[in-house]
Amino acid sequence: MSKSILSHPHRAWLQGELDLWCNRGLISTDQAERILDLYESPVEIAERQKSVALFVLVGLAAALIGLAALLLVGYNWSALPDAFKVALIFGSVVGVHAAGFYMRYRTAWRLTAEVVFFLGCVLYGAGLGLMGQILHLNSHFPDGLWWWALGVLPFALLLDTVLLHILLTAVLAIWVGVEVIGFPHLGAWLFGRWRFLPNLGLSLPLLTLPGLIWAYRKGSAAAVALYAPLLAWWLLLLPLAFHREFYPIYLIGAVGGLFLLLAQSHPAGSRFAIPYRLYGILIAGGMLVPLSFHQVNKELARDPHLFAGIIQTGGILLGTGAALAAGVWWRRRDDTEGNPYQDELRDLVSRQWLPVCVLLLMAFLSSWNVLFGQIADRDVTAIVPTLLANAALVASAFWLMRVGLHEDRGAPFAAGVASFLLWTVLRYIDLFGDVGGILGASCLFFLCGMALLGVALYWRRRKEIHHAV
Amino acid sequence: MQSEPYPLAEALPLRPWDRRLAWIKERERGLLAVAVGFQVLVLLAMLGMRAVVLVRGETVLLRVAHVYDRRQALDRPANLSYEFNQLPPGGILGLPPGTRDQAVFVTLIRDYDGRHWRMGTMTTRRPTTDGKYLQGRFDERGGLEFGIENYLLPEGQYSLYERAARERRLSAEVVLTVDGQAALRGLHLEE
Repeated sequence: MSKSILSHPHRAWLQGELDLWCNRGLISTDQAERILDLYESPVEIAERQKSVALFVLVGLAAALIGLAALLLVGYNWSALPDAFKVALIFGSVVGVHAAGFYMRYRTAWRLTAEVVFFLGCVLYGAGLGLMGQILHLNSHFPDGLWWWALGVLPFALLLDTVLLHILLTAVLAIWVGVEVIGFPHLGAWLFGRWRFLPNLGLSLPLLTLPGLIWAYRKGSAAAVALYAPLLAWWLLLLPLAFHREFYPIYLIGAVGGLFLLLAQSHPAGSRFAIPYRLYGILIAGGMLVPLSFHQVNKELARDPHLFAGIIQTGGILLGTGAALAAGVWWRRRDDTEGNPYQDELRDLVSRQWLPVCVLLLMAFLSSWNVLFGQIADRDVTAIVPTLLANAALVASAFWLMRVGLHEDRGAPFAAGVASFLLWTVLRYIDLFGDVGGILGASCLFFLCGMALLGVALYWRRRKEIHHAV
Repeated sequence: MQSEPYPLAEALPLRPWDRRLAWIKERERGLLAVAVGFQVLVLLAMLGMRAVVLVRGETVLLRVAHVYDRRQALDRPANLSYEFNQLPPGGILGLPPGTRDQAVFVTLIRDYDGRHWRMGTMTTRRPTTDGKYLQGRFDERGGLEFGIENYLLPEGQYSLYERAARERRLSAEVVLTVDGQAALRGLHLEE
C-alpha cells in the first residue's frame, strides 16, 4: 500500500503527539510505529521534494527549449532547403515522442517522460507554424493554435501530471483571445459557421470539458485551478464580442457571480471550490468597485441602450436560473432519503445567497439605467445602483470572512478583511475627501471599526448558541 | 492521487466516466501512439493539401505590386499584394452591391513581356473558357484574397523586396491548377 503524503512539520507534530500518547499509556510503542509507518518517512519526504523540484526544473528547461523552437519559427531559416526543414519538423516531433515512450515504458523515469512528451507537444506546435511558413500558407492563423490544442489534449488526458494541462490551457487561452478579439466578423463556429453570431470561440467549452473531468476524477485541484481561469477568460471575452452594442461591465460582473455560484455548488471546505471562488470574487469585486462610485453610475446612465439592457438582464437571469437548477439537481441526486424540502432550501439559501445576490444585482442594474435613465435625472438615477453596489461590496467582504471562519482558512478571512478596509478607504476618498475632511474620516473609520466589532460579537454569540445546541 | 467526494463526482452520473477513464488508462500506450499519430497526420495533411496543388498545377509568374511588413510580431509573414488584390474601378462583375464573403475569379492573360501574367477580368462566375484563372474570395471586410499573399521574407531583407516591388522587379512564382487553386512557390528578384 502506498504511503500517505506528509510534510516535514506535520510529521514532526505527529511524532511528538505519538510519543506523548505512548508516555501516557494511551497506545503502545508498536501501535505508534505502525501509525507512523502509514506515512512517508523523512527520507521519502526529502526524496519526493527533490523529485518535484527536479520535475519543475526539467519542465522549465523543456519549456525554454520549446520557446527556442518557436523563436526559430519566427526567424526565417532561409539558409536551409525546404525539404530539410520538413524532415526536421517530422523528425523532431516523432523522435522526441519516441524518447518519451522509451522513458515511460522502458525505464523508471515516468516523470521525466512527461516532460519529454511536453517538449514533443511544444515542437508539434512549432512544427505547425514552421510548416505554414515553408508552404506559404495563407490561412486563418488562429486555426493553427486550435489544431495545436487538439493535438495536446489526448496527451493531457493520458498522462499523470498537470504539465500538459498547463500547455493546453495556455494555447486555448491564446486561441480564444485571438479569435474573439481579432476576428469577431467571421461569425461563430461550432461544426459549421453561424454568421448571425459574432465569433465566440464556441468550441472552447468542448475542449475544456475533458480536462475538467480529468481534473475532478484525478482529484487534481491544481488542474481545476488551470481550467477555471480559462473558462473565466472565455466568459469575459463573450461580452467583448458584442462590445459595440453595450457596456459589458454588468455581464462581466455576472461572470464573477456565476463563478461564485459554481464555487458554492461544491461542499464546504472542498479544495476544488477555491479556484472558482478566487476568480469569482476577483471578477465580481473588480466590477463592484467602480460601480460603487456615483460618478461611474452617472456615466453609465448617459447612453443607455434599451434592447441591449433588456437582453443582458434576460441573459443573466437565464444563466442564474440554469446554474442554480443544475446545482440543486446535483445536490438532490446526492441526498440521503428523507431530506426535507425545507432543509434543502435552507441549505441552498445559506450557501448561495451571495452569488445569487450578485447575479440579481447585475441583472437589475443592466436594465435600471435603461428604464429610469430616460425619465429621471442622471444624478438621481445613479443613486440606487451606487447604494446597491456598496451594499454588495460590504456583503462580499463579510461573506468572505464567514467562508474563512467556516472552513478554518486564513486566506478568505484575510481577503474579506482587506476588502472591507478597501471599501472604507474608497468611500473616504469618494464621500469625505472633499467634504468631511479629517473629522469625516475619523467618523467613518470609527463606524467601520464598530461594525467589525459588531460582527465579531455576533459571531461569538452564534458560536456559543451552536455549542449549546 | 485520490479523488475527493464532491457534488460533481457523487451526484452527477460520472461513474461511467470513471469506467471510461479506467478503460483509457488500460490502453494508455496504444492511445498515446494514436495521439502521436494524430499530430503527425495533421502535419502531413498540411503538407498534402499544398502538395496536391504543387503537383497538379502549372507555374506562372505574377508581378508583386506591394510588399507590406507585418513582422512586428513573431511568425507573421510579409503580406504581398498583386494588382488583383485591389477592387477593379468598375467593381466585380456579377457582384450585387453590398455583398461580401463571395467567391471571385480572376482571368489571367499573358503580359507584354511574354513571361508574366496579368489580370484580365474579375467576376463572380467561374470562367468557362480554357484560359488560366485564379479563384479567390471577396471577404467580410471587403478584402480580396487568393491564397498567395503570405510570404516569410529572409531576415533583414524586407526593404530590398519592398523596393523591388515598387520598381516592378519582384515576381511571384505561383503554381496554378486548372480549377483556379493557387500556391505560392517563391519570389524572384529581377536585376
